[in-house]
Amino acid sequence: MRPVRRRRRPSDLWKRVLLPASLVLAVPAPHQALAAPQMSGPPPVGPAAAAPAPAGAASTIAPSGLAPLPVGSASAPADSGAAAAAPVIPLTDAAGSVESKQKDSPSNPEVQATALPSVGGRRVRGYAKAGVWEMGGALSFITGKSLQQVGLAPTAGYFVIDYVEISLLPQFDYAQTAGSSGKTRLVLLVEPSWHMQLKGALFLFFGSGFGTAYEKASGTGLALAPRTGINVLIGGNGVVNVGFEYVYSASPKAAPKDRDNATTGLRAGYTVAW
Amino acid sequence: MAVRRPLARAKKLFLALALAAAVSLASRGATAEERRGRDVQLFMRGNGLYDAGWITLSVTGIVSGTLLFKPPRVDRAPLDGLGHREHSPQLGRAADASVAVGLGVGAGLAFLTEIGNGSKGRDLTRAPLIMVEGAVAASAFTQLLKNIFGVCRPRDWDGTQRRCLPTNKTESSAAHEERENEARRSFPSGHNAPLAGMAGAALGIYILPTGHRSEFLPIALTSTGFALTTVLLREQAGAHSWVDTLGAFAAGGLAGFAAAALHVKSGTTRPPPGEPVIQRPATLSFGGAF
Repeated sequence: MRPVRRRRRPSDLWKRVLLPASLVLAVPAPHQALAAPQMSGPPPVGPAAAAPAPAGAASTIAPSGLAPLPVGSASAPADSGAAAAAPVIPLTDAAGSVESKQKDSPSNPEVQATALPSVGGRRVRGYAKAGVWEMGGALSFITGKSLQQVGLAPTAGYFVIDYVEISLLPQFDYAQTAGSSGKTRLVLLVEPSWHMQLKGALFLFFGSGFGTAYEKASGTGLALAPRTGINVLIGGNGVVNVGFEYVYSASPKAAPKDRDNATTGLRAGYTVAW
Repeated sequence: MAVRRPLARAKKLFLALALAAAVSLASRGATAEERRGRDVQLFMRGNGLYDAGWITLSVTGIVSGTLLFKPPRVDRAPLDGLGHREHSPQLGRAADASVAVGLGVGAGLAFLTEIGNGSKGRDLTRAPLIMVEGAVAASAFTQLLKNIFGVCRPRDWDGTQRRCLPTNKTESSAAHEERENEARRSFPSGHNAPLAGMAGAALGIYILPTGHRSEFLPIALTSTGFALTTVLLREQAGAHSWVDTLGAFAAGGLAGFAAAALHVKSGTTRPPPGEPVIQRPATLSFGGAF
């Protein structure tokens, strides 16, 4: 008997990805998120939401991603209807539990410093934890040997396991080389990247992008782009990325002297994570 | 009016000719350099038996170091002096992913680069073979070395008792025995070595040929990035000290570079990628002014 596979309905995709993405982009200010009516999405799911938080042993974090609030604390804005409707989700493990002793535990202040707001009813997660989405872009200015290049690179990424993200990096570059007119280049990279917390909201990352590059004159070729840099969390769910990158592309159809194209440069970008 | 003596003039001419000949023979002209160029070849010393032996020895070393040899039952503190560190399974999994992806990306990119170079037939496997040889040699070296020192992992080190006490003891005696052994296999790091070996091999393929193979520089950088990422992740996961990870990075890199160096063949002409091979006759030129 063949097993019956349940197909994911489009509405699931809408609820899980597109709706949170649109909410994040629409409500960037974390302090406003607490009162935003659209933030009160479906009730939180998952073990953190289902497990009753032991009084005095666990704390909760408000959707804004600001300081954790104790359960039942009088400091919570109880008179705000919108705030009461917003999900308040247990963040920490019980004190003394095995999980709470680990450095990855949500009880760890270092992890709490990276907590992202709960958007669309999603469970509160720390940055670089499994299940976190990241979307944004970068502008680049690269200079090489007789080359000036500006580029636009939108980014979409997903943390498949803790600290490991898979990103899709389409990139549009306009390059001006010495003695020739400007040319446009399209690069599509898939990049696994590793993000390690250095201190608080500061992360070190390394990514290894690989994919294809296309130019009208030279055709399609291989592209590699290892890069390293830092992520800094700002304003609840914003992430500033600054990194050093090396981009190499090779086009077999190009003339031998133009086959290899290697550039180095700095890349700065901004993404939102949820 | 001064009269030039023929003998003196002949002496000067002879000296000038001798000097020009000596300088010309001692110098390396462009054509002579091409003929004496170096390149990496598919097999060590042109014979696949050496490569088969290299890989067999390396795999034997890995298996022996993992299953056969046991570390001494001593209580040796983590070598960087920082003592106990908490275990982080999540960072450990991230390090595992880094090793798996890094090895796959390194070998895969080397294969794609050979395709891009226009290599045909079994020459397509040249760069991947050298990089795999670097990885297994580095791994064998570290797996054997682990059993000599018996250094305790930071996550298993109890600083107050100054003893190596593996955490998460299981009921099974065999599993506990293996956990005791594994707790004392901290130096050097087995995760870092193969990645560093690949990075060293890629660096060798880039540097060692005459004129350098620039297309392997991005692979060397990528592999080095994966190796350094794993250095950080393994230390942060509590599995190794800095000395373990950086030592494995250095030793693995050298082993990989050595694997690439064993594939170097002198006396070959290596044109730039994509350019046809043009055989030029050797010439000797003299020049001088009097």
